[in-house]
Parts: sequence; structure tokens; C-alpha cells
Amino acid sequence: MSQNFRRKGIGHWLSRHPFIILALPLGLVGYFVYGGMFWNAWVSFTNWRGLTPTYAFYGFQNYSRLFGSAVFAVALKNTLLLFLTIPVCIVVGFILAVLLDQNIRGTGIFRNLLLLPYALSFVVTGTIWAWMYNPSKGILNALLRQIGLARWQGMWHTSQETVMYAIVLALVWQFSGYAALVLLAGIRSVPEVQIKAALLEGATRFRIYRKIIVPQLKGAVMTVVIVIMMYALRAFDFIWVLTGGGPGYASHTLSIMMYKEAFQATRFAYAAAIANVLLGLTLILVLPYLYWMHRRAGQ
Amino acid sequence: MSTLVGRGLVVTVLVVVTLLYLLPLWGAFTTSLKTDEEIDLTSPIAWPQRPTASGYIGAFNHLKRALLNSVLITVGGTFGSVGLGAICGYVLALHSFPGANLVFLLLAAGIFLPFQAILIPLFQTVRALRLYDTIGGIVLAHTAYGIPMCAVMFKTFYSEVPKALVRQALTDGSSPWRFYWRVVLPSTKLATVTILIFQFTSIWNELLFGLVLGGPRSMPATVALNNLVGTLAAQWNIQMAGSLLLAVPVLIVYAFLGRYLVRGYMAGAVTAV
Amino acid sequence: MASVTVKNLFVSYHRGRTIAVDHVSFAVEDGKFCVLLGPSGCGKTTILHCIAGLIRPTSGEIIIGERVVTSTEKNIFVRPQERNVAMVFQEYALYPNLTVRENLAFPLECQRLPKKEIAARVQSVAELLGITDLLHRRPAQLSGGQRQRVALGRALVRQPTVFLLDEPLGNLDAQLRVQVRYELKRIQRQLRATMIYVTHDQTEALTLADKIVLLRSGKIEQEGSPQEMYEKPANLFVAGFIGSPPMNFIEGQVLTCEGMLLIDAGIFKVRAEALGIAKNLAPGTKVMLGVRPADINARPSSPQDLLLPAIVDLLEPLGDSAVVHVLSGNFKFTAKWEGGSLKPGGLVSLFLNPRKIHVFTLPDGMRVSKIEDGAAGRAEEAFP
Repeated sequence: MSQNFRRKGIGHWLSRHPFIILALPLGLVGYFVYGGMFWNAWVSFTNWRGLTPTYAFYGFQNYSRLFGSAVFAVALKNTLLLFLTIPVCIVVGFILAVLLDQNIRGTGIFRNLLLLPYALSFVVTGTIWAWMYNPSKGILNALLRQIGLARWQGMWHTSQETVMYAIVLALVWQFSGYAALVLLAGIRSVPEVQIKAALLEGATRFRIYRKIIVPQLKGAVMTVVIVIMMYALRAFDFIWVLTGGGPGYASHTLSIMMYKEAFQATRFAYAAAIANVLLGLTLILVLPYLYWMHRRAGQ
Repeated sequence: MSTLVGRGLVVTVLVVVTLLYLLPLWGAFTTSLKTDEEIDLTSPIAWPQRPTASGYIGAFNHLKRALLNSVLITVGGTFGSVGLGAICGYVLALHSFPGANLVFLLLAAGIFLPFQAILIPLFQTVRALRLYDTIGGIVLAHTAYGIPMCAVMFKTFYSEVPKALVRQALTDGSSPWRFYWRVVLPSTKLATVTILIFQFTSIWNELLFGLVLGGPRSMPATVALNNLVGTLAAQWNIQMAGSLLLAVPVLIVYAFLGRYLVRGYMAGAVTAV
Repeated sequence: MASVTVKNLFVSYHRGRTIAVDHVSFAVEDGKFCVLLGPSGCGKTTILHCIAGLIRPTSGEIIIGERVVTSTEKNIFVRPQERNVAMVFQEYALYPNLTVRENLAFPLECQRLPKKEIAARVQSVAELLGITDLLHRRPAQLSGGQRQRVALGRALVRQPTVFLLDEPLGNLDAQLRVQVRYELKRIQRQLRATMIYVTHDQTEALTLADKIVLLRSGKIEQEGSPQEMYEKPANLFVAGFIGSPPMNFIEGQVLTCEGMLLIDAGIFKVRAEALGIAKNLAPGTKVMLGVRPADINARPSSPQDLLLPAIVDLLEPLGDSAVVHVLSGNFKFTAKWEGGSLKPGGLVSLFLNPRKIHVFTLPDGMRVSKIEDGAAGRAEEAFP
């Protein structure tokens, strides 16, 4: 028995104690993800300013200040406004996916080019869209002048009224290729034999899409919704580079507001409260999805 | 299958849409090759009359240190998160143990974490470890927060290894680690490459950790480019050249290993998010 | 219902480098059950898809009833949905998002029939198949046999001119397969439906078919009724493919001895005359002799019977009978045994009626026709 143990060695022993192997990764995740969440929650109930080592319990005062703040109202509204990206991306992505599914040689190239923006850093695309939207020399206005639509020129990301829509438009550009990819995979995963059978039964192409393919895209649509929604909740990089949250507070989102409060104004506790609201919002939106996934996996 | 509408129409629409999608990138490219004067005088999407590399030289001088930092951060963060994620994925996929489901659930939930919710504790921890403004600090953050995604993706890929094979190997007396090195890893090379590339591009593209944890010595290129945009507001050629320089590694990966990147996007989407 | 005629059907892929169907012609009469039989990759499913219109053949003509639906020569191609053929796929192809009722109604909705008629037809088909209490379920909630029934119902509800079935029993377990096979045959009889059925299972073919078309590598090896295929296999391939357990083969050579024509098979010699073959074979010709296990008996059936002393190697009991593997000299063969108990290693005497021996010439493997083939053979030729 002891010889057997020696022969199989430490690997065998470790295999009986998976938590030892998992200690490092799980420890990191446990500390940085879950530990961080609880620490942050605790901070949000103090008056900590970050640079001072001492702080006191502050109750719900950060939250009451937050819910009374006009900036918070704007940031919350803008965070939810970014959700507008989701239906637009799904509609655009679905149209692109249907076009890409038309069994024409070389559509793979189109798919890859349409997906390209999604692969790029938000810092890159944010910089490029700043140039696109630049009111005096930028690409968009220059093009509008060239094709004789000068009166459609806009201030885009530099106007308080349009900045959020300009951001949504750019995000649709960046995400719709991805939506198309996922929806295309969904369309392709409908067994071909079902489509053959429907053709034989006299179904038109339109009916096949409407009655057979689209109902089977639930999972793909859900994926797109959740991926873009997660992005919208966290949205920081792109907006930070494009507008920095401006003009004024017009493009503040919860994450921009949190960053500015924490690392520019060093109001750590107040920032922690904003982060906690964001976390709560994420949980409210994601938990039903996780439950749905769980139920679907169970079926 | 026949087509829904005419083939010609489909191709035309696709060409037009694709050109529209590429327009911002094309505009950035032409602008990056122009001088300041030419930017003032010509259409932003017109090809420059005298292309010049001065934009790229200017941008490179600003970004060279940060690009090197980015390389180090990305390599470190990718190997850290992929390595540790692979361990989790392997154990969770092929070796059942009490509590495995809970561990998986907690890992998977980590994917949905909004980083703002841990930013302050992370900042404090990195400072306490004296890793503020070091490459190591940023690598640590990317490793820790990359593990959930990698673990879930690896678990999905490793679950495709037949369970019978595992039982066979264990009854043959192979240790789980020998089995991993000799069977699982070689037979899932594609999965490993896919996840490596996925993590590589994610970390390369990331801004927030670099912004919070990096300083002048350690800032990655994303932060440096953002600073450049702030300080050189009018020099569009340098800005565009800078953003394209930052995009180069991703574009190379996209051109040559795009297949894997697409697979990674799909896996990342299907598994948990 | 309608007849189906396939003329000179040719399908190739990869610019002619792969030939899937090689100039196949056959006809199915109105109301008959025709089985396309063959090993996988023989082109049977491709032929079915050509009839359905899911594949355009490289060349050839297909006629359903009076109507030419595919003709490369006349440049005719009727789209699948206008052919009024129904197909049952091996994978069933049920729409997972629709209930059984909606699945059955789908083809009728495509034809824009009035709602009342759709409901009535769905109901009557559901009754015919005994699935009325499943109508509200979704495919994921059905067992394999139930799904198979729904798939069949979806074909029946359309009242098509021809049914095309692509290995419809392939995904069922053995017991269910026998049951559904019987039901399918009953429904086909009841509706007098024209059915073309693809399978690689010769038992299915023998039990279901009015006519079998046996294919290999895209070519027809033989067509005919199950009985003809069984009793008069045209060549070695057909002889080996049809019948279970498969036919025993032994090589032999034609000899002359004292003016008599003999076939020497090593373990036995037999007079050519006793075999009842219709023409004389040249001495020296190599032949392959084939005997079905069922034609090797424990008791002699005629005075001409050959006696084969053998050693029992292995016994496969089937309950009422057994398949016995025996050794006679170097010759291993199987016999169907209905007699008393046997022990491995024991000796057994087996009898073989020479009339039941099939003779094939080598190396081409073609059947040497027998005297009693005559009448039936000519009748077969008369069929267009």
C-alpha cells in the first residue's frame, strides 16, 4: 500500500485533494472578487477619503447623498440609455446575419470585416470616433458637406443633447458585427434537415425564418442581450476616451462618476456607494438570466 | 439553399454595409498619413497627396515606453490567467469532488462582476503590496480577474474530453497530472490557443486597470494613448497614428489567427456571459 | 397517388471526381412500396433527395405520375414544394419550437388551407397514428417512437402523391422498430400509398417491400421482389447482402469425369446436372457455390441430398431454433438448426439439397441461371 502510494506520487495525492491544486486560483478569485466586493460594501458605509488612514462608520449617509444628487440621476439615466444599443444591435445584427446566411461564396470575408471593430480596443475606437465626430474637421460632417447634406451636420459628441446618441451609434458600430456573428451561429445551428423538410412542405423562405429559425434563436438573442448589457453597465473605456463624461455631466455613466469620485476627487466612500449601486443593478439584471440559463441547462 | 432575395442584391448590400463599417478605420488611416496642413485642406477620407510617416514617428515617440509596458503586462496577465484558469477548468470538468458545483457557480458569477465594484479594494491592496505603478501590480489584477472567464471557457472545452477516457486513465494508474499533460492538453491544443488569444486581446485592449494602478513608469499603451489625446488635442495625424499603432497587435492576430478569435468570442458568449 | 420513374439518373460531385449515382433507372408502380437498399455510401439517399427535388442531378430524368419533375435534357426542374411529395427524415426534422399539433399543421398552413380543414386533417392523422393525446406536447417531451410517429404524421397529413422515407426507423431500438415497421406497412396498404423507402437493413427491405432496388457504389446491382432477390440473387454481392445469417460460400471448380460434368468443392463433389443449372459450364471454370444457412438441414429432403459431416464449433441459440457454426474440413459455414440439442465439439450430419445451391461464375461473380428460373425470368424482362 505504501509502495503504491510512493509510485503514484504527489500527483495522486493532490488528485484526492482538489482544493490544494485550486488554492491559488480560487484564493485569488476569492480575495479579489468576493473579498473586494465585501470590502467595497463596507467602505460605502464609512466616511473614508482614501488618503487618510482613519475613518468612521457613516451609516447610509453616502447613499442618501447619492440619491439626492443630480449628477447621479444623470449617470443612472445615461447608463440605462446605453441599453438602447441592445435592440438596435439585435435588429442590425439579425439583418446582417440573414444576409451572411444566403449561401454565397465569400461571405466569410464580409463577416470578418464586420466583426473587426469588435476586436479593437475601446481606446482605439474612442479616439477614432472623436475624429469621426469632430464638428469642424471630422469625417462625418465632412462627408455630409460633400454629399450636399450640410444642414444635417451636427455637434455630435460635443453637444449635451446628442452626446449619448452619438455614443450609442458608435457602440452599435462596434457591437453589431458581434451580434451578427452570434445570431449567424444561431441560424446555422438550426439543423439543415428541418429547413429541407420545411421547403418540401411548401414553406416560403420568409415563413421558414419566421416560424422555424427565429423561434430557435432565443439562446443567441439572450447571449447578445447579456453581453451588451454587461458592457452598458460597466461602460467606461469608450466614453472616457471620447468625452471624459462631458460636455459637462452630459455623458456621465455610473462607472464614469464612480471613477471620478474615487480617483479624481478621492471621495472613496462616496465612490464605493456608487459602485455598490452599480453592483446591485447588475445583480438585478443578471440573476434572472443566470436562473434562466440554469433552467435551460437542466432541461 | 436558394436565396431569399437575389444574390446580386445581397452582395451589393453587404458591400455597401461593409464599406460603411470600415469608413471610420479608413478615415483614421488616411489622416494618420497626412500633415497638419493637409488635414485642414483635404477631405478626411481622401488619400493623402504626399503620405508622410511623421504622424507615426510622433506617436511612436510618445508611446514607445508604454507599448513595451503593454507587451509585458499582456504577456504576464495572459499566461497568469490562462494558466490558473486551465487548472480550474481541468479539475472542474474532469474530476468531480464535493462542492464542485458551488465552486463553478462562484467562478462563473465572477465574469459578471462590474470592475468598479472592486476598484477601491484593488487599489488599496496593490498599494499595500507596494506594487502601485509597477508592471507586477497590473499583471496581478489581470490575472485575478481573468481567471473566472478562462476557467469557465476551459471547463467548457475540457468537458468535451470523453469521461470514459478519464476513467480509463485513472484505472490504468495514470496520475491526473500525467493524464493532463499527456492526453488532455495535447488533444485540446485548439482550445488553449483560442483562450490564449482571447485573453491576449482582452488584456491588450484594456484601459481601466492601467489607469488606476499604473503610473508614469508602468502605464500601458491604452493609458498613454488616452493621455496623448488629452495633450495633443489638435494633432489628429499623431492621434490617429497612435490609435492604429495600438491596434497593430490585434490586427495581426485578427488577420492571421482570426479563426481562433472568433471561436473565443463564441465560447466566451456561449459558456457564461 | 402516383407512379415514379427514374431514368438514367447521374449525380457527381467535385466536378465529376466523385460519382454518387451512376446512371440509375427504375420505376415504382402506383401504390407500391419500393425499398432502395444498399450499404452506406451507395447513393440511395442521394436518389431520394433527387426525387424530392432537394438535389439537382448532374443528368437524368424523374417522372412523378404523368409529370416530368426533373429533366436535365428538357431543362425542367420543378421546385421541391411543388412536387407534392412528402419526406420522412431519419432525424425526424420536427420543429422543436412547435407543438405536435403545430408541427402537423405546418405543411397545411403553408398551403393556406382553411383552419377548419387543417384541424380536421390533423385530427384524423393523429387518430390514425394513435397520437391524439400527444398533440399539445413539444418534440423534446416525446420518446423516440412518438417522434417517429409525428414525423410520419407530418407526411401523411399532406396527402401527397408519393412518400419518401429516409431510414425512418434508423433511430429506434430493435423492438420498436419491428412494431413501427408493421404499422407502416399497414398504413401503406390502407392508403394504397406509393412509398419509396431508403434503408441499409435487408430485413426491413424484405419485410416491407413490394420491390427492392439494391444498390452498390451508385449502381443498381439487382431489382425485383423480395422473393426474387432472395431466391435468385443476380450476383455474389446480392447473394451476400440479402438474407440473415448471410449465405455460405465455397469455391469450386468444374471438372469432367467419365464424360460427366462435376463441380468439385473440396469437401464435396456434385454433378452439375443435380444442381439444375440451365447451361453447361466449360471444364476448368472456377465457380463460387452459395448455400443459405436455412437450406442446410438436419434431415434429408430428397434422395439427391449431399451429406456433410461436420464438427460443431459454436452455437447461437435463438430460442426456438439456433444458428450453428460448423467446420467441415477447412470449410466453415453456418446452418439454421431446428433439431435437438448440440454441443460444441460434437459431430453432426447435415444435409444439403443440391437444387438449393446457387452457382456463380468467377471472377465476375454472376449467377448461373437454373432451369426453374426460366418462366419467372422472362416475366421479369417483360416489365418495362
